Amino acid sequence: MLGMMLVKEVKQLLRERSELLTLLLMPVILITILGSALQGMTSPGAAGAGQLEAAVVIEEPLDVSLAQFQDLLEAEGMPPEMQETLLEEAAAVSVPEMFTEMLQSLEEDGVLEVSIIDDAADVPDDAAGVWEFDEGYRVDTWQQMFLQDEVPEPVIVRVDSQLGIIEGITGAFFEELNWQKEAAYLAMQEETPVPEAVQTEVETRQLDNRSVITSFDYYTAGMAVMFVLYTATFLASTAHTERRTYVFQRLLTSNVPLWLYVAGKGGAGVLLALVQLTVIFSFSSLVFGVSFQSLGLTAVIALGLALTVGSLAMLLTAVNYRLRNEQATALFASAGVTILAFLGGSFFNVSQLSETMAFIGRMLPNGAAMQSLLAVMGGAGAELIYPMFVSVFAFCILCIVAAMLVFPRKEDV
Amino acid sequence: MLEVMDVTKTFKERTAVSRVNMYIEKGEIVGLLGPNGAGKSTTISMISSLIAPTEGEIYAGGFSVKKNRTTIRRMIGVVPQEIALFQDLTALENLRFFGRAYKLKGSELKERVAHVLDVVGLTERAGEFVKTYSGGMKRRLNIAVALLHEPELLIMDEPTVGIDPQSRSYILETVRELNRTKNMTIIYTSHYMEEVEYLCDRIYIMDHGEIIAAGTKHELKAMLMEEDSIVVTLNQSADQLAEALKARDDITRVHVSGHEAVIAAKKDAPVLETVIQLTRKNGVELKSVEVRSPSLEDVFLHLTGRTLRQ
Repeated sequence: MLGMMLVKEVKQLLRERSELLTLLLMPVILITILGSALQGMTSPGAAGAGQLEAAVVIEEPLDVSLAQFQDLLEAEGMPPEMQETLLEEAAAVSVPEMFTEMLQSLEEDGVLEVSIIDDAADVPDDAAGVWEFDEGYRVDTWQQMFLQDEVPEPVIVRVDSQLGIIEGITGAFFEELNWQKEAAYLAMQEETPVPEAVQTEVETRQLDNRSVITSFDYYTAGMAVMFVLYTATFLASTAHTERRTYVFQRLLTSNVPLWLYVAGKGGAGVLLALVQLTVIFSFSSLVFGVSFQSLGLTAVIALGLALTVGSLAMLLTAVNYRLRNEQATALFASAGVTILAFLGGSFFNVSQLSETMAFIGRMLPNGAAMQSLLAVMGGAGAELIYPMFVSVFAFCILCIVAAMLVFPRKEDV
Repeated sequence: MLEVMDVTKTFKERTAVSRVNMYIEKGEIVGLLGPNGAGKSTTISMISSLIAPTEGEIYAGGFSVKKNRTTIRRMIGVVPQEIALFQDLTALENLRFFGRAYKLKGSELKERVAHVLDVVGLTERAGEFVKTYSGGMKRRLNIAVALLHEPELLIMDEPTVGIDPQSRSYILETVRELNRTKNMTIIYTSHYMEEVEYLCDRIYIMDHGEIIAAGTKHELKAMLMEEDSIVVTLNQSADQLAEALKARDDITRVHVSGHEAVIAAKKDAPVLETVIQLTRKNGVELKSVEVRSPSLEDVFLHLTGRTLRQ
């Protein structure tokens, strides 16, 4: 009987074009639009991030670098007076010091909290971004600046999900630096060509060696966990129609138990949500190259999310029957899903707004599932998705118990 | 087959059905006649075990409906007033779905589905979506679903509402055939008295939640044997004429509906002559006059002072 109800729900959905449009086409369209529009930002949540913890690793002290540079100048056969002049200029245009100075001014503005350290091993665990200036970086940049040598190796910037703002700071600094340098050469009106820019690219790596999350990754997770909730409202809505048109009463007179009917809605929710997630993930993977790294973990997350949808469908069905209308479902579809999606981080990373928002997001099943999906996309292992199951399990239990309490016990429906 | 004993149903402070008593023998077709809101559907829902009576008992096949819900539900087939079907599924898919709900499987299910499709004349259209069906076809399929498990008692709640005369006629013939060939016991509710009069052996008339009369159609009509029923149609409102007629002793009732007046008068009273005189006196033109034998409609009018469709 349960299988028969599942088949019926699937057939009904496949024949409801407007619902199919909402459940499958809309998320795909939004992933395309939002993913493309915010493609430059690897973390769409960066804007408005508030105060971030950051660290600058300068592996070599300035005087050591100056001494090395002096050795080089001597080896080039440069006169001592000229060496002294160049060393003074070199000290004034040392990139790590200039960069640190800029970060400190940002710190004063309350944007960042910066730690300056000399060993990468000492980077604080909660640092959202780390700039690493390797040994020899200064000397390389001075050689390029004053001796027209090769462009030095780029600065290594390590980031977590705050990459948007970290990358922005890095880009702005080097653009400014190069522009100043170019302007200085032009002011001198020398015929020598303007040297190459110090740095045009930043080599970014994810902290703990995970992959960087792209905007397509982010919105694939965000839209999937949001639109899957509409499956629950679709099922609750069909349940209301079945009550209104006497189909439910007909099922009762054919001895179908109440619990089986409600469980059928739950089971259909699980099945349809799994199909929906498979379609969305497959689309994103094929069209935008979104990689889920571990298919097994992705399937486990999808199952957790599908269970959430199933239990939610049961609750909404029960509420519809209790109230004898579908206003609650309509309200949930219009406002509830949007609020859950916002708090869960489907639109942008609200966890950066405050600790409270981050906590709320983690507690919501859609938010927890989204965090888990992003973690898996970034290459995380199973340990990062365990917390999701606490919120999913709690949510499912709550919904099922509430559905049992709310659904009219007597068959006077 | 069915006994309804002193059944009352109260919803909050509103009494929908009050102290209803009914009995139905095996193989009977019994009509439940009454206007909208009379309590017919509530009575049907209690007999079908969908709602529990506030007071009283119902027995079907010797089993208490309250205590043996599962047994009763195997015994009855319900044709609801609404089109209780999945509109996005085909007729065949609907029948298979409800057939499985009735625990039919394999070849038995296949045979039963084919049979009921044949009974309601939808075999050729079985693969089409219900939403593409006409109102009459939907009503026929609505009946077919209730017949899948071969019920002993078929409860039909206004099964011909809103359909064309051809489909209505088909449904009425189907009901008669089921009763004749299968000896199926049928409860048929309607506010179309001509349907009830055509189909039913016995009739219960309900109004305001109560049974106000019961018996065979001849017994019910016999209530009016001492009266003549005359229908007159005028070229204008019949209100003025009605007032004048009501003042006469040999006229028992007058019911006006627009230009038409239904007059109940004592047997053999000279009503025609009176009507002609009064129309002339009031300057009203008489368009037609019909003297007819009492109908169930007249019985209802006699009992309630209202017509069934009011």
